[in-house]
Parts: sequence; C-alpha cells; structure tokens
Amino acid sequence: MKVLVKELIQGGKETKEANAKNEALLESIGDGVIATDAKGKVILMNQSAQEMLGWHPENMTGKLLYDVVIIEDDDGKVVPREKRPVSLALAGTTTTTTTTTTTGPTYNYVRQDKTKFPVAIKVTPVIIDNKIVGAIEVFRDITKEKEIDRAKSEFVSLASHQLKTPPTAIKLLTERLLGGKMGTLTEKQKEYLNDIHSENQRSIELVNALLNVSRIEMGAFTIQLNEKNICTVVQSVLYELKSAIDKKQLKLEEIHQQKNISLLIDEPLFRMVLSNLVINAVNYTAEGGTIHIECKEVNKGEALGEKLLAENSFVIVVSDTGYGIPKNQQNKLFTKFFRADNAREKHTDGTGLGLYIVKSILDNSGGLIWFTSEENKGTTFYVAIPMTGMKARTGKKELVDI
Amino acid sequence: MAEDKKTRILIVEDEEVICKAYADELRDEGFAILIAKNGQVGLELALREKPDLILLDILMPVMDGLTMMDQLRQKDLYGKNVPIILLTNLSASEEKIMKAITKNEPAYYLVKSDYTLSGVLEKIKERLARKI
Repeated sequence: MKVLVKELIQGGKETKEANAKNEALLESIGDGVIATDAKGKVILMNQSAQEMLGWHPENMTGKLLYDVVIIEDDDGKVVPREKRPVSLALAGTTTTTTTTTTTGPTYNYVRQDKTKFPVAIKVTPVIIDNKIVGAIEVFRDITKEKEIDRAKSEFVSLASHQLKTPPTAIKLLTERLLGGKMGTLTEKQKEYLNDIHSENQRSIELVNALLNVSRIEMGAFTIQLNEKNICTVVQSVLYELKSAIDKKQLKLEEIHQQKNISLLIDEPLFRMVLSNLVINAVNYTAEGGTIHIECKEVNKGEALGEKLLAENSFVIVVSDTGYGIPKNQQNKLFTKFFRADNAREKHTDGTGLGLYIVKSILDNSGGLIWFTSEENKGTTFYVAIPMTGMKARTGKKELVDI
Repeated sequence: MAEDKKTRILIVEDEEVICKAYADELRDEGFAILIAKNGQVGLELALREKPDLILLDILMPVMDGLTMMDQLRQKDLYGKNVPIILLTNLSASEEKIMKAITKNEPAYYLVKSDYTLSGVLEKIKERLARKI
C-alpha cells in the first residue's frame, strides 16, 4: 500500500503487471480505502469506498477529502477539519488515529445523497525519508455493530428489571409479615422470615452486580465528573456504613491528612469503590478487630504498599486486621466471582463481583488499586486517583448502586 | 376517621403482589387507596378521583409511567400539581428518569428493590407534608 501511494505521489515508472496487481489488491478489500497526499487531497479510493460513500472517484480525486466527505458526530455537529482523523494523522500527532465503537466518540460519514452511517476510521500517515507525504485511511460501516450493542444493552436492562420483580415482591411481603400487622409471630417464625428477607436481598444484590458487570464489559457506562471535597465524601460513606461496623464491634480509625482536599470525581462511582472496600473489610474481619482508613496526597515517585506512584495522587488506604488473603489466591482477587477459600468459609454471602467492579471503575477512570495482605494478619487496599482527577467518559448508562 | 376525610393515594402498578403489599401497608396507616393496573387507567382514575398523591410504576403495559406523568401534567390544575412518586426497578436509565422528574415537578423517584415499606411510607408522608 505504501509503495502504491509512494508511486502515485512521486510518479514512478510502473509495469502493467505491478499496476494490475495493486489494483486487484485494492479492489478486493472489503473496507473502504482512501489515500491522500500530504495536504489531504484524495489520490485514490477503492470500490468499497465508492459504494459506501456514494461518491465517484471523479468527484473526489484531486479534491480535499474534508471538502467532499463530511463527518458528523452523534449530535449532528460537523467535525471540524483539524479534528478529523486524516488531519490528525497528517499533522503527525499520532501515527495511527482510530475511532471505534466503544473507545471513542462515534463518527458518522455523510454520503453523497446526504444519508449518514456510523463509521470506524483508521488513518496511517505515509512516511518517506522522515517526511509525511500522505495518508491512507481505511474505514468500515459499523451500523450493524452499533445495533447489536444497543440490543445487548437493552436486553440486559430489561432482563435485570424483570429479574428484580419477584424478589421485590418477596421483600415487601416479608416486611409486612415482620412488621407484625398480619398477626403475632413466634420467635422461630421471625427468624425464618428474617432469613428469607436476607437471602432475597442477596438475589437483588446479585442482579444489580451482574447488571454493573454487563455494563462494564460492554464499555457502556458513563463517568461524570464534579469537583468535590473528598474528605466530606469519605466521611459520608463511612457514616452510611457505621451500623455495619458497629454491629461487628469493630474499631474504626479514620485519618485525613488534610481536611480541604478537593478532587474531580464521579461521586456515585467513588462511593461505590469506597463502600465495597470497607464492606469487605467489615465482612472479613472477626469481631473486635480494627478497620483503618487513611486519606492523603502522595507525590510522584513515592512508594506506598510496595508500589511506586507514577504521578501525584490522592490515595485512600483501607486496612483491616482480618483474615487476610492466602498468598496463592492473591492474583485472582480482582477476577469475576472469585472468593478466596477462607472468605467463603467465614462469610457465605457475597457476590464475588465487588472487587471486579471496583477495579473496572478505577481502570476506566484513570485510577489505580492494589493491595498487600497476610493470612490471619489482615489486608490493606490502596486506591490512587491522580490529583488531576478521574477521567470522564460518555456512555449510555450509569452503574447501579450495590 | 370517616372515609371521605382520609388522604387518598392512587397506586399505579401492574405487578399484583407488589401492588397488594403497598396497598395493605398504606391502608394500615389510614390512607384510602385507589388502584390502577396501567398508565391509561391510572390517568383516567387520577383525573376523575383526584387523589392526594400518586405512586407510579414505570414499566407497565398499554401506557408506561413516564408517559402517564407527562400527559397528566398537561391536563388541568390538579394534574399539574399532584405530587408523584415514581417506583422503579430502573428499566429506564436514571438520566431519562431524572429528566422526566425535573420536567414534571413535584415528582420524586425511588428504586423499589432498595426501599423498605417503611422507607416508602416515610417518603409519602414527606411529600404530602410538602404540599401543605
């Protein structure tokens, strides 16, 4: 391909055979291919490109690509010249520029007849003797993929809604019975009803967790940022969990290095991360133990928990004096449905999805999570968010509170 | 308390068992209850009987809760002002629900699977108190 473009730009002598081979190669590619010179003028386009765009080479060759084929974003706004993949590649800011279904904004090509289709574009600059002499764009119509994504997402939402209906009914009815208004209950009846209520609650939590996992896997969840006083948020999460902590008679130590740290975060997601870690600490620490929470700024290059930080970060440390995680099971901790053997023994509830969801949230927002642990001594989790804040992300859904 | 002095609540919910649980609890608390199984019937009942508050499920056949709320708010003075609490298991995205709520104040939403009966009761009393 590069040879082809080089020849076209530099005007080399070509044998008929070589030409025919190149042409056959181009025409056999199912994706659309457009080659431009260093200014963005179209040099050639293949059959697929013609068919997809509705433009004939005669109308395009020699013209600037941006002038002929318009790109619109999902809101119908025209993507300006400088932001177009071809421009970015020619400017040499990146060697290849890609927009795809899940990782970037969706671009739509406008055909000659003014109809549109969603497109995945990849542009590679052609470099000869260290100079950019042109670019090759390969694109494909992703209407089908987007449709499938949307259908999957809707199916999951609908399925989880339906799955929660019977447990919701059971929940409300058991509450009525336990409320005593349907007749006095014996102690044993109360006990059984409470068990029914908690088992049912597990069902609901599992459905919510699965819904989150599904949205995470499909890259469909949104991260919306706001500036927040992080200490206030941490205090508020701990307050919510106070009764669970007290119930197990655990000692809570809370240390804030500074009370006024402001951070750009998605608060619901941040709360989900912290709650999950604290609830784990509560569940996997025996009565009378201690949970230690510390919030502080850590500078780039400093070490914490056997790890060196790559940038200035806000770190939350959640430490417990609990059962710990066996060394040979530590590498599986963040995988789906994983629960360590000792955890299963001590505490039969638990979806096994909490840490997977927590890690996914942090992975997707530019954060980090790691831990150190020793069996029968305790575990310490570290969450680091860059001081510049979490990274935003557009998606069609939010994650559910679990 | 005489029947006509009781505060009246309309429950619009297609799931029979869930509806029954809310209705029984609210009757025990002294409220008079009206029931509709979908948004269409709910709309007609609301306009005719003018309940003091509406508990509105979202996912229902014939007409869903968000559509009913939209239409109710356009009808008359009563329709514009009756407090509504949406009950959902998040079949619609939270964003969509928030948009509908902001557009259709006074409205509030809560997630069925998250709220206890007493929690819902509290919210109802809170919303009724606001009206006055």
